[in-house]
Amino acid sequence: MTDALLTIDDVNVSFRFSDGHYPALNHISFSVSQNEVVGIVGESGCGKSLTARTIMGILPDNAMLSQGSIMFDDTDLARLDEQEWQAIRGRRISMIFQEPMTSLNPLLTIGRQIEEVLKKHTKKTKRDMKAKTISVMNSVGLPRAEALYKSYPHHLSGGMRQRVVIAMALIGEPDLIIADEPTTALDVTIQAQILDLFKSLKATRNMSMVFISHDWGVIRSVCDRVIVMYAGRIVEEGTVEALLQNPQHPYTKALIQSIPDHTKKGQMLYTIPGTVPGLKERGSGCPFASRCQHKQAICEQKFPEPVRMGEQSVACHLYSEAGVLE
Amino acid sequence: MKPVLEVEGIHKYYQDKKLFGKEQSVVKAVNGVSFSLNKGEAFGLVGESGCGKSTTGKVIAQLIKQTSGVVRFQGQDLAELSAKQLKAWRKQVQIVFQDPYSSLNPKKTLEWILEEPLIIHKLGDKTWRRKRVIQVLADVGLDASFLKRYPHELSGGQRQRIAIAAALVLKPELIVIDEGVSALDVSVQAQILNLLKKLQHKYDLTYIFISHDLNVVQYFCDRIAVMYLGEIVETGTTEDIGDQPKHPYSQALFSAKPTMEGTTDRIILKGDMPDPAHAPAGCPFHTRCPLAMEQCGHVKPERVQMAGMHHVSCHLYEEGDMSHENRRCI
Repeated sequence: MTDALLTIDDVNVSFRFSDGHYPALNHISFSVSQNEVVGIVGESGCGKSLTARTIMGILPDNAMLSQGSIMFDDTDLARLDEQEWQAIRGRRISMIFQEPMTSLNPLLTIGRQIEEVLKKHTKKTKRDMKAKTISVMNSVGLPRAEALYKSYPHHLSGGMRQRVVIAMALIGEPDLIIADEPTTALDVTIQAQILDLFKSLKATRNMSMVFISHDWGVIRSVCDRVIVMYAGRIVEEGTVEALLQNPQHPYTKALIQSIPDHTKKGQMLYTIPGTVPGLKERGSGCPFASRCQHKQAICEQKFPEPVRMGEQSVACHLYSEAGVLE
Repeated sequence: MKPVLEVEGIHKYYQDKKLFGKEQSVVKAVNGVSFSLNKGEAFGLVGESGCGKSTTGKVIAQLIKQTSGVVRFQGQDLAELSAKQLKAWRKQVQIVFQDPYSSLNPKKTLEWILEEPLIIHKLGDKTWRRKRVIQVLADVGLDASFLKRYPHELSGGQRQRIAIAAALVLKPELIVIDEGVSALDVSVQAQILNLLKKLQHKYDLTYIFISHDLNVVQYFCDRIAVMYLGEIVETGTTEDIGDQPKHPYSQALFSAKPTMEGTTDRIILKGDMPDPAHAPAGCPFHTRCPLAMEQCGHVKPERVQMAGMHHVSCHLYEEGDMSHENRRCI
């Protein structure tokens, strides 16, 4: 594997409430190589979006990065001030948010919003910028780009707005894109267009991505590796094939088993008992313990160290370096 | 067997009025939809945003009136009912929406929310109603301790259970589920799908399941209708549509579905669905169809029967014609 473009090492993020600090991300470590797409899956509240925001340096006001480093090339993103960030955001790393309603300015035209990155970071002429904007709009499948260039967000359907947000992220030709559920709001045929576009950008421009999704089918079609998160922890990590064919962590197994599809027609779906523990209900043990069928005494006390197993690594007391423990 | 529901050529048009009442364009949200449902069936309506699937669901529940066409419930044409009879009929068909956050009144307790339909329909006395509410809570897997709670105290999955309970409390024949599991996490979605299945067996319910998630529809439904621009372009059993889609649009739609097995031969469509206010003449899909022929632009294709319950509206096929097995876009 080539050198890592992004290396996140032992990152902790906690939320500050009136009654104390509560950790929301615990010892998050992973890396993204050049030309690699790393997926993050997990249920609501597991810390997927928070991980994305931590990388981009846009944590909510009451959240704080308390430990760890985020190396991008040779820069530690965790130590940058706002001014240094300006040179990186949009140009070298950009983010696609999941709510296109809130990430677009209702008062500015579509063209102006997509162009902004070029204005900030390049010295292109007005005409060049417009030509570039129109070509990016075409590549994300926005119809009638010339006319849309001058329209406002409220003229557009939800799916079109999402494609505008994707165009904004792509126009600066960044090395790394952090995409938070980028295609969830899109119809399947449009989703297929966008996923194809991501794949071709990866092939032609060596682009890397962190791809957050709750849809295993989407992850399967774009990602090289995938990280499974649960309650602020990475519980399993590995190549997409390895995880889908041979999931090891009880949570990953349960998650994959509960996906409905035509092969399970007529059967009851597998369900996980209980719910994801809230931010204030997480102890020092494995957060999945209360819902796990294989719970042991140690699970409640100590979070397991990740164990390497071939193509994947898993954090569960069922496994040790030597293999499966009885 | 007599069908529970028959829908014949329903149209729903919205007229866009300009300032000073000058008429502008007509949006054909639903444009001649027909199908029928047997008791105990789960019928899936699939298609992309703006194809008219939700509007069809609302017409069936008579939340909006169709512009033309007939909705017949257990043989009774709903247009012939008086206002009073229609109100009584509403018990029979309930609808569950996608967003449980906005469909439950945040200021009322769950007991109030679940009791209200019974009061509106003047059913039973206070003690009977309370018993019924507790019973329906149990049906959706919640206990009586939820009676005094408010919607904001619930998780997304619990809220959707309450929305289902509110639909169930009147003992309906037919429930329209409009993207009812789309906003949920997979593990919660699995719980709700299991619950719907269980209730279907227990109460012999008929479902219309509206969703853009093809994997869920293929798992849950017995029959599927594929909609495009206000029309049903293909209908058949889940196996017919899932394994052997005939219409070029169904083929593209199902090929674009992300699956766990990875994708093969994906058909990428160009462009977007046309604006329903300026729907194309002829076949609604011809502007994006990779196999469009000359006649598709001006002649609307008739519905032809392929085999059994499998019908398709496309000029590529003729009645009973089985020689076109391989009319694939690619």
